[in-house]
Amino acid sequence: MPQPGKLLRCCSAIALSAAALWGQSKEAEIRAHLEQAEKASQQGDFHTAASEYRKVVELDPTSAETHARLGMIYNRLGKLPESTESYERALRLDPKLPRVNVLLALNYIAAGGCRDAIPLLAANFEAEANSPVRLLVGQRLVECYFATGDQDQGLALVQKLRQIGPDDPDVLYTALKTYMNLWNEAFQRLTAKAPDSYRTHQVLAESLEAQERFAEAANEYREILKLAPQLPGMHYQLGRMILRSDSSTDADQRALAEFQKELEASPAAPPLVEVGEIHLRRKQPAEASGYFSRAVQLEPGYVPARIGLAKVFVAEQQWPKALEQLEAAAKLAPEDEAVAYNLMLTYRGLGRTADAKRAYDTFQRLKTQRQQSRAPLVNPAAGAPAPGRGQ
Amino acid sequence: MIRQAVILTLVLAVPALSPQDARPDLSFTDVAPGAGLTATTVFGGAKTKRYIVETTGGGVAFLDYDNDGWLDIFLANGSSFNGASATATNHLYRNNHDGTFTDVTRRAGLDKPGWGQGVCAGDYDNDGNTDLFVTYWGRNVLYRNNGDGTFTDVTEAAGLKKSRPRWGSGCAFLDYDRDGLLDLFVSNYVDFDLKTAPDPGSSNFCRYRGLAVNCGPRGLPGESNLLFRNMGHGRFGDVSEKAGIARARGYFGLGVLTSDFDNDGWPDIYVANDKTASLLFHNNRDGTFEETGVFAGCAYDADGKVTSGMGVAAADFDRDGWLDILKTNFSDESASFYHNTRDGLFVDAALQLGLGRSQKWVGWGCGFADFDNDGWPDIFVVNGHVFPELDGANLGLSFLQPKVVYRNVRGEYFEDVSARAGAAVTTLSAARGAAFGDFNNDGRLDIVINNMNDRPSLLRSEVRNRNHWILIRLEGVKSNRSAIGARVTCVTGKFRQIDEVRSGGSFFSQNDFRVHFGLGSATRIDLLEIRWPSGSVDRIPDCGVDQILNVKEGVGIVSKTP
Repeated sequence: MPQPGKLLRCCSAIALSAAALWGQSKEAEIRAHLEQAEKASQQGDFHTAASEYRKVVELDPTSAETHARLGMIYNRLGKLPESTESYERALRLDPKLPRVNVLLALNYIAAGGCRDAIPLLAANFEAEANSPVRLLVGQRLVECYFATGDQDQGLALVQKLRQIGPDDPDVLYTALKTYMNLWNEAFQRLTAKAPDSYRTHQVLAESLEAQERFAEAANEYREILKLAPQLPGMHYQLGRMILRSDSSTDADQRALAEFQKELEASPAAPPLVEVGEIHLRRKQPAEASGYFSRAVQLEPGYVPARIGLAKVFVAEQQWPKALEQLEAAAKLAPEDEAVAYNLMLTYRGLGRTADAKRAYDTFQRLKTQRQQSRAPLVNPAAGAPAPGRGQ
Repeated sequence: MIRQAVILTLVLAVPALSPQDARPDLSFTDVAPGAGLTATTVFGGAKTKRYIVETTGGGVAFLDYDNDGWLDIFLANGSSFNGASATATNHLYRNNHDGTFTDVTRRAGLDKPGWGQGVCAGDYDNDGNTDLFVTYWGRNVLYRNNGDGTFTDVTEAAGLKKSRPRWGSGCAFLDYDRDGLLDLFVSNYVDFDLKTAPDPGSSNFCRYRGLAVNCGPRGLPGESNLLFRNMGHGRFGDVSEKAGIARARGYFGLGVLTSDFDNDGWPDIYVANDKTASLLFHNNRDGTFEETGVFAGCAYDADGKVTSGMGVAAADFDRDGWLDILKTNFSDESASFYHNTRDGLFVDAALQLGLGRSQKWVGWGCGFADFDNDGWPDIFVVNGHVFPELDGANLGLSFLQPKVVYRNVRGEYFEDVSARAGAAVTTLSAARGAAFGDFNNDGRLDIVINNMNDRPSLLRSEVRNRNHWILIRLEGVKSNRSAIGARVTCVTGKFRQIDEVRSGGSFFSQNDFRVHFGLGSATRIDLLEIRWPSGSVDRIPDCGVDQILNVKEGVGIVSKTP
């Protein structure tokens, strides 16, 4: 929704200066009407205010400021066409009148005229470089770009807004709504054009996983594998879902079978790490180390593999070996909590107390940062990435 | 003739098994109904739970309240919001010495409705009678044992009546300043007010795997813990701020464990927190504590991630002379096993030790107990989910869950032997509190469990082997009379076992005060050493086995059974 109140307040000073330009007698009459209008406006008596401003306009039809003021009052009275006409007159008289073009644009948007609003908002967005009004203008502009089908401009502007106001709740809301609308639009198109495709099942699976409906997500992955048995990453994802959803005693074994199928088709670090974790849970640290090591060799930049290996060494108090993996991991992911935590334990084990304290401080800082930004937003499409292949 | 020779050869080929090597399965029978433990523990809705206060359940205590040498049982009871449970009360069952119990709640003056939570025991006034402290969502209660089978609520007279009701959870008596008087530690869970409690499903904190469920603890205000110093003459003073305990704020405190983790002779305090980092209050030996959980390595899991801590227990599982910590957690999390690597510094070795295979269960009460008396403390964990709404939701999870028992294999790892431990273990329940002790004085450790909206379970150990054991009841003189905080070292040959007398522990529960050691095939104990909280040390050499010893500080053995 537009927020005319905020802009009305921004523009509240522009009308009062008009009276000074008039001759003494006329000036006195105009001043009296302006004072009445202002007083009525402050008391919320907008009908009287409008009447008084109209009298001023009759006395001095060339006052752009008074037309603008009258437009604002009409807006408060819900008289959109009259308000729009007053703003347009004001701008014809003085095209540089501050922010009236924004008010006019908001009226256009309210009347369904985004195409007319866009040039006004775009110009103002550039002109208001150092003003908080800029974010407000930008958000309306994003809405208009999408309303007129210009998604490229809209997305570009969302990104720009996020750079300008990265923590602004209104900006973040605009971004969220934008991405969600795009997701919905693409998903509806996908289900309309290819309802039985593996991609449709994939989206459903990832959406169900994001909702922690792991058993249903597993079923979707099974459907995908029927349709596209060779699709990379799907056995891996199915294995993960089995582990999350299944409480039967052989769940580990069935997940393991899926990970092995994934590895047979295409070795990658993520399923190797999962297999390592299963062996760790089975109290088979030597086997677990083997899988973690293979993952490190295959993808030296895959941090979970190094963490897995390091955790085995930490539990066995093999501090130098743990340190080797953790220092490599810290270079790859200096902001990883698990790396910082295990580094603290390892330095502590090695008797390097000062280093341990530093790692402790890093860990606490990362923990605090994450807790402060822990808004559990639910992205309906967020699933884990396919192993080693990106998305 | 040939046949006889074959048989003889086969017999000779089987090596002679010592009791330890035979490794019979751990086995239990639930004898609760026949023993007279029949009262249902009421705790919120059975099919749905609208508020988090309906989920935590109650603790249970093994204690000898009448000093007859036999363990009695106290069970904390809750309430519900449907009005049908206004008369639900805690229960005290007296041991009849024949495997049965008598409900003496009313006679003992312990019938009290309310949302009972945790229980811990200790002789706070050193009169020789074990007193009880019971936590509530509401106002906690200190019951003074009058020594005649009755108890008196002395909360207000003792200075323990709080200015506002809170959600008391775990508790433990301890003598943190070693002045011979038992002090009291109380954890608090959530700052929860029914008037402002959000509805199920009303936010991300009120949904679980797509189901609308009760809210919290995330999204609700956290709490801080309380430490009360025993000032003598039956009075306590709140020293939470002064001692540095209250500095840790915003946590969801549950299980409380007190032990000397760094072997400096002073009791430390460990608190298992739900959804927040667990806390280790290191005793500075000057009346203050420093919270060191993260650096000590016992606040998070092996990834540095927070877990949902519930129950806690301590033991020296590998006989290295340092007490380790077991902590039960939520489903999808392994139990935590913090292996003490010396000096009170830990690493989480749960997976390496074999505790990672039961991640489907929500763990609560837990304990180390040498069920087969082989000299290596085993592990028992009781489970049950918090959301009854899971049943029928087809999510692969259930509200009622089995228990898990692990056998300690020579201090190297734990073997899950639940499937062979009998129906008492595999039967599904919504278990919460669990206490460990020898209720029938047969040298084998048993378990009493407080089940939610069900009768309790009394799991009698059915292990049958020729292993030996010792039970030691300590009585402090200069130290607190319950001897809480005393450390006992049991030396047999080259093996040294240690344990301590503790109040509280497990989940909201109280274990047998008597220290138990399994001795395997050893027929003599070379040395029993007791380090009392006062600092004095008693040494008892060349001690017999398979008996219950009563040991008095500075005196030695004053009686034995048989």
